[in-house]
Amino acid sequence: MKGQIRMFETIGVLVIFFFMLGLAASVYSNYRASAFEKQQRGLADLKAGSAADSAFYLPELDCNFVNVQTPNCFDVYKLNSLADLMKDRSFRDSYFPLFGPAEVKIKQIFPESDYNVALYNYTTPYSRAIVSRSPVLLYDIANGVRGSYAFGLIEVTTYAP
Amino acid sequence: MRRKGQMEIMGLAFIVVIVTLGLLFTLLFFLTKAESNALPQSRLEILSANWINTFLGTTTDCSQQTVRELLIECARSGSSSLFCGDTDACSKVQQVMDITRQSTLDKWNLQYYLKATGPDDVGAISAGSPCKGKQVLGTQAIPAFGFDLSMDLALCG
Repeated sequence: MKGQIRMFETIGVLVIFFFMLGLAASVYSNYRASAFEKQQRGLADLKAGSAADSAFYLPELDCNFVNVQTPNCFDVYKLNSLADLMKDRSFRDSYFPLFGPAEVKIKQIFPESDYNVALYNYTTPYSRAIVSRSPVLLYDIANGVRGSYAFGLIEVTTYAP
Repeated sequence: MRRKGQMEIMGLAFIVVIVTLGLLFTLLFFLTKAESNALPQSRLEILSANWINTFLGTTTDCSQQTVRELLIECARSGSSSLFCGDTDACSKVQQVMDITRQSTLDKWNLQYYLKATGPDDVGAISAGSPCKGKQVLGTQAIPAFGFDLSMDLALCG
């Protein structure tokens, strides 16, 4: 009888021990998976930030007048021309190293208008879409005596696999 | 005696098991907590600076003056002069501010405080409410002879 009780005690201790071990292993594997996912997200965010910065400050679209550059500004004529060129697949692909799988859109906010340009579009299957936005001036030289600046918005959607 | 000792050991073991389980569940909770979707500080700084720069450079329908020029006019003549047809320069700036912030900052669900700094009528141009905690402040001075003018945008982080 005494021996049986001792045996039950030992089995009880072993059961609890293996249960705790299993729980600890489960927590650790969750932690490792979570840490890896966090690292992947961090890398995707960095890539998205880099693509967004490249789009926000594209030298092809800068507003330049008599060697004076207006910061944070896109020339509407340059923008329309680049958008037309981007319709050619090989031309668009030459911007892939800069933007990666992403979508770049520019629209006018003020004065209110339907002006909306899809500058770059390279969509792939993705698990996460990271959107970066920035206000930008849209310069139209033909509007008014000295041209006009509209309040625009550039939106860069980067696709993470 | 022996029985008492055994009971004490069992009690201790029970407490250790409970404490360990509690620690493990706490760890599990913190490790699998959902991440915040708030924009990082660096992004907020860029957004704040770009927003102010774009806003001040925007051309209005008031004699093709930019918001920057209208603010200077607002500082000079205040809200008493009808500079823009049936409205004054200060009101025009407020109007443009309301349209642009509603389509951008409000739409993105950002908490912010947008304020022009200068003489009385300029100082009345504002939107949003002051940040209670952390904030990212962007500011741009407006060169105007005789006035200290600036536009500030605080994004609450």
